[in-house]
Amino acid sequence: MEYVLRTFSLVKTYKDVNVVDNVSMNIPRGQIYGFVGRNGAGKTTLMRLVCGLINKSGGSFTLFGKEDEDRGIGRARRRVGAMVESPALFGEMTAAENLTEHCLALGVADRSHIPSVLEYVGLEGVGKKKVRNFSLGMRQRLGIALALVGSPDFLVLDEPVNGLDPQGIVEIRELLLRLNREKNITILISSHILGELSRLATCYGFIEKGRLLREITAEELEKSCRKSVHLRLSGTENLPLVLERGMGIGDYKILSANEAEIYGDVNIGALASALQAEGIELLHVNEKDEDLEAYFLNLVGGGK
Amino acid sequence: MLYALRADLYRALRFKLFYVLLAANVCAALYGIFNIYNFHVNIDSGYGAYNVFLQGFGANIAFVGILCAIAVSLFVGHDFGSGGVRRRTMAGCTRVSSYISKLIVNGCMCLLIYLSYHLVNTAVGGLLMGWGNADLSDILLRFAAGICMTLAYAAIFTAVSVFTKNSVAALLTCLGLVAAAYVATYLLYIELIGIYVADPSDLSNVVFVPSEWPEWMQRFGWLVIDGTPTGQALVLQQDAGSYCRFDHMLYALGWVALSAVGGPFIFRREELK
Repeated sequence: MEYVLRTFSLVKTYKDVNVVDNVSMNIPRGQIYGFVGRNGAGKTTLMRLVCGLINKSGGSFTLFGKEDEDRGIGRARRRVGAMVESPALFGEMTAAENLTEHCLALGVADRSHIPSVLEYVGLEGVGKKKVRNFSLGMRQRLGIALALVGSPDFLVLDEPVNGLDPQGIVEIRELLLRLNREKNITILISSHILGELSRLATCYGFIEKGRLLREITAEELEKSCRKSVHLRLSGTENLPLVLERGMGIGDYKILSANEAEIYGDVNIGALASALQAEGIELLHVNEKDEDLEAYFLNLVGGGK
Repeated sequence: MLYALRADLYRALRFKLFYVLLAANVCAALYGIFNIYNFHVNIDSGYGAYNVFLQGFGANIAFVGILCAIAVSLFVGHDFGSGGVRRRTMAGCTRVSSYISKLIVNGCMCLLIYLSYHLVNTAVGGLLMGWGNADLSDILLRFAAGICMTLAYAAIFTAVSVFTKNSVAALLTCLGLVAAAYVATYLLYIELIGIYVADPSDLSNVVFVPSEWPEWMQRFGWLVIDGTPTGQALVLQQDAGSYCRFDHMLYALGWVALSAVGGPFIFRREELK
C-alpha cells in the first residue's frame, strides 16, 4: 500500500510536556483521513509538524516517501495544500491577488485556473473586494481555495468548515468528496463536527493528550460501533433483575427512574414479555447505532 | 528561492506604504533643492546641487534610516502578522529562501527610496543650480557608499523584523535603533573631531583642540561611527574635501553578509504558529 504520510514515533515537546507523544500514523494514498480529538489533543500541532511550521522534538515522518530531514522535503511540500488553524490571508489584497501570490510562491506558472478555483469554493462574485472586508465564512473559503490552487495531491485541512453556514458546510463536503473521487486527492482533515466528518472520512485517527489511540477504517468503525436500544419504562427499579437474570444481558445502563439503554442486539418481543412478567410497563422503544461521536467519547472515556 | 522572491516582489509592488515613503524622500529632495536654491540665488552662487546631494544621506536626522526602518519593519511584520510566511513555508519555501528573499526585496525597496532623492536632485537640482566645482569622483564614491549604507540598513532591519515577527514591535525596535545610533554617533563625532576655541593669548585667533580621550577610546569611537550606517551617514554629509572611505563600504557590506548568513541560520529553528 502506498502512503502519502507516515509518522514514526513523532514527538513534540513544550516545556517538558509531550503535546505530540510518539505518534505513528499512516495515511494511505487516496483516502480521506478524519483526525478526531478534543481541544488540545495535539491535532493542530501534528499538522504544523507535517507542514514544516514547527520543529519536531523526536521521531520522524515521510511525506510522499521523502524523509522530513531530506533536502527534497520542500519539493514534496509543494504537492501539499494546507490550511492550518486560521487561513493565512493578505487583507489588503483581493481574493484573486492572494491566489496569484500563492501561485508564485508555489512556482505555478499558469494562473488561468484561478477564477475556476474561486468558483469551486463559492467565491466567484467577490471581484475587487479586499479580503479584509470578507466575512468569516468567505475567509474560510478563500483559505480552502489557497490550499487547492496549486493542484495538490494531498490536502491538510484543520477545521476547514469553521465559520461556514450549513449550506457552506455541505458545499465544502461535496467539494472534498469530488476532489477525492475524481482526482484521487488524499485528504487529512480534522473537525469538531463529527457528524460531518463521519459523512466524509474513509479512515480515522483518534488522538487524545498527544497520543494516537487508534487508527481505524470507516468499515471497521461501522462494525465496531455498538447498536443500542433506548427504553422508556414505567420504572427501572427491577430492570436489572429482568435483564441480568431473566435475559442474560449485562451490557446496559440505567439513565433515570424511567429510562435505560441496552447495548447490542436485543429481542424486543422477548424483552417486552420479560418486563411485563415483572410488572414493568414498556412505554417507548428506540433503536439506534452508536455514532462517531459516541465511539470517540467511549474511546477516551468521556462518554455517558 | 526564486519562487519566494517572486511572491515577495509581487507583494512589494502592492505595498502602498513603499510608494508613500518614496514620495517622502522625493519631497525631502525638493525641499532641499528649494532651500539651497534660495542660498544659490540670494547668498552665494557657489551653493548648488552638490549641497543638496550631501543632505541625501540623512539630512542630519538619519532620514534615510528612518524611511528604511518604516519600510522594512512594516513590510516584513505584515507578512508575519497575516500568515504570509506561514503560508509560504507550507508551500515548500525553506526558511533560508524565505529570509534571503526578504533581504533582497527589502534591499531593493530601500535602494529605490535612497535613489529617488538623488534622481530628483540630479534632474531638478542639477538643472537649476549645477554642480559647481564638485569633484565627480567624490560624488560617485559618496553615492556608492550611500548605496552600501542603505543596503546595510535594509539588512539590519530585515534581521530585526524577522525575529520580532510583529509589525509594531519591529517598527519600534528599528526606529529605536536608528534613534539610539544617531544620538550615539552624533555625540561621538562631536567629541572625536575636536573643536576650535579662542586662543587665550590672542583672542582674535582660534586654536584647534583635539579630543582628549585615550587613543583606544578614540579608535573605538571612530569604529562605531564608521561601522554603523547612521554613523556613515553622518560622515557622508560632511563636506570635508574628497571622500575616499572604502572602509565604509566594507563595513556596510559586512552588515549585509552578517544578515545574509546569520539570519537564515537562526531563522531555521524559529517556530511559525
